[in-house]
Amino acid sequence: MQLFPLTDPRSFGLPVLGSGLIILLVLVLLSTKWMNTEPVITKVPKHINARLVQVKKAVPKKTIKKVKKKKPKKVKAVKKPAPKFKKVVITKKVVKKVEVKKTIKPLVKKKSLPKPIPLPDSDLFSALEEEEQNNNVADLLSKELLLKQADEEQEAIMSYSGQIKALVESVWRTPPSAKHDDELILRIFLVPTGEVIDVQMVTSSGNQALDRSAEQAVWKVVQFPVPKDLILFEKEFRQFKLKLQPSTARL
Amino acid sequence: MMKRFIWLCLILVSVSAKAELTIEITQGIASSIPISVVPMKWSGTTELPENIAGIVRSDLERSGHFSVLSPDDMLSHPSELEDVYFRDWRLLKQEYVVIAQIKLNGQDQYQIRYQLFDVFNEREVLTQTLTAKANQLRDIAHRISDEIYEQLTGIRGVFSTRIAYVTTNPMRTHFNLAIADSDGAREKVVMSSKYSIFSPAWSPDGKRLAYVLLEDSGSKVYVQDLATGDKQLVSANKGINSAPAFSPDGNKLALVLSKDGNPEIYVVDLTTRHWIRVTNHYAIDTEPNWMPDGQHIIFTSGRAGKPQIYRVSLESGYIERLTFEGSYNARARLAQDGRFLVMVHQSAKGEPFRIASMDLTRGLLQILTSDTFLDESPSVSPNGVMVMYAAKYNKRSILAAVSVDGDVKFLVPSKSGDVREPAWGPYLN
Repeated sequence: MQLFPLTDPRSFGLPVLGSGLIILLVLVLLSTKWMNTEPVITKVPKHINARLVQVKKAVPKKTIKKVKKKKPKKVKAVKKPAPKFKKVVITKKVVKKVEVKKTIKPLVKKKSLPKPIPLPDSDLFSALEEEEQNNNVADLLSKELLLKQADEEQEAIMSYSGQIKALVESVWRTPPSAKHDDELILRIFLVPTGEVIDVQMVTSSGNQALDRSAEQAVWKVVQFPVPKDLILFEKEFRQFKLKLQPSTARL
Repeated sequence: MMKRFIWLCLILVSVSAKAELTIEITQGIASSIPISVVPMKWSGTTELPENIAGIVRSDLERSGHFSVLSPDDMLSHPSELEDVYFRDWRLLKQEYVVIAQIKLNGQDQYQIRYQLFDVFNEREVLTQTLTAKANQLRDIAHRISDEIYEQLTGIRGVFSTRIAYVTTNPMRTHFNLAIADSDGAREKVVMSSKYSIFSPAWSPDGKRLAYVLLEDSGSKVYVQDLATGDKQLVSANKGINSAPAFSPDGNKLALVLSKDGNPEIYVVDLTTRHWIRVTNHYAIDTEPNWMPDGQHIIFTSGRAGKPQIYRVSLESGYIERLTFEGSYNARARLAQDGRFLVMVHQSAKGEPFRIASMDLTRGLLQILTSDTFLDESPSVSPNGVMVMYAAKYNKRSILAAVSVDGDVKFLVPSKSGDVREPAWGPYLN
């Protein structure tokens, strides 16, 4: 009872307004923040991509995008030494777009592309989208490029490592005295053609016969598959370690 | 965000691992090693009494761990390092090459020099110079095989060891206890008898043999010195005296006596003749064999209704059952420092008797034989790789061998009659 008289029903307006404002502010802040931090592009579903293309009709760049998407990929694929993983699609998309713009321009002019059909989208929306995209792209470009490079490099390394592993496993003849928990490490020296020029024992297994069989296996391969990219070769495959463990041995 | 984070993590990991790329290989192939043993260069005029390279080739081939190139398929027959063209041997897919030369060094003294090369690493693995008299050339050949085998497999070779076995004429009226090289060559009769001979067992130094003679008055256990031929009676108790087995130090003999009613395991000290009874059960306990520690004995017992393998501690008398698979497990021997049990195994009543091995650390039982019939008396080579056993083959009793992993099998040729009860001897040096 006492509380009621203190709180005048009229005074509710202020708190309500205040809280409403706060909520609004928070919402606005949240929404802007969200857009800035989370790259919108990464979440753009495919059909939105298409829309953009059409809106920008006037600019030949964008129309080409579609075409590029497929072609540039191939161009890149040549450079890329390793098969890509499909999982990475989201991050790649951004990069692709960006790269397409830059690299494929000349191509577009030469080739007469089918005219894009204008869609009934609002110009405003697409313009906004475009702007955001550009912003994000600019911001993320360098990061994404780095990420992608590292990612590709990693893939290449994995791929070549896998091939090297399979090759050695196929010729490594383990002696009957090998124990499944024996372990040894070799250092392999290659030339850029992938040919073996030296094999060094880093850590012996303590079993001479096993050590020798491992060294022989490396020599037997003669030539390893290595990346054609010399920088990557120098970085990872000029010399590398091979850790061998006859885990399928009977003892 | 999560994805970004994961990628960052991945990159960080890759950066930190970038010091040097390490590729992990986790399996190889376990197949036979290709090796070429080039015919020896002989500088003498007369023919050599033994084809040493030929003996080495057949030794290595028989071990199952090597595939040996025929001399006819070699591109050259070098005897010096400068004539060895590793590229040629690589073309022939050879991993190792052995070259050797032999010359007469004074009267009846041969000097053999051999070298083992690693074709892929292009380096010498082994070189040795040996001298021998004409009648030792076969020993030298086996010794070379042993050295090569040990270098390349990491396991000591057993080509220089010998086997003991019992032969019978078809009428079963005459029995011989014989010893021969592990390839069956140079058979020598140690003892002949009109009585049945059973269970030969080597002393750990390879100088004595224990065996059972089934005389008219009953079975008796003897120990015979191989150098002098002296035989010493160890046990002639009432009832059964059988299944002798030397302790690892060679001072004691485990055997089976039925003087107290039913067969039990006893241990006798060969110098003091002090007897200890090891088992005491109304079921049959038989076929004792020592663990390498000299503190435990494995034996066959029917105490669970069917024959199974047990282990008894000499100190505490504690008995543990080792085999549970199959309806019949008997005549157990140990391989590779007691890690593997090799025995006669029958998977179920009515099934054939086979030689099986059991990995005691993993408890896995593997049946090793399949081509022979009524497999019995397994005996393990001192390096624990091969098992020699007796079996029926083409209606004859023969000796056959199988590797403890079941991969290698061969029959041991015998000159005549039936062969039974093989006992693989110890290392001689």
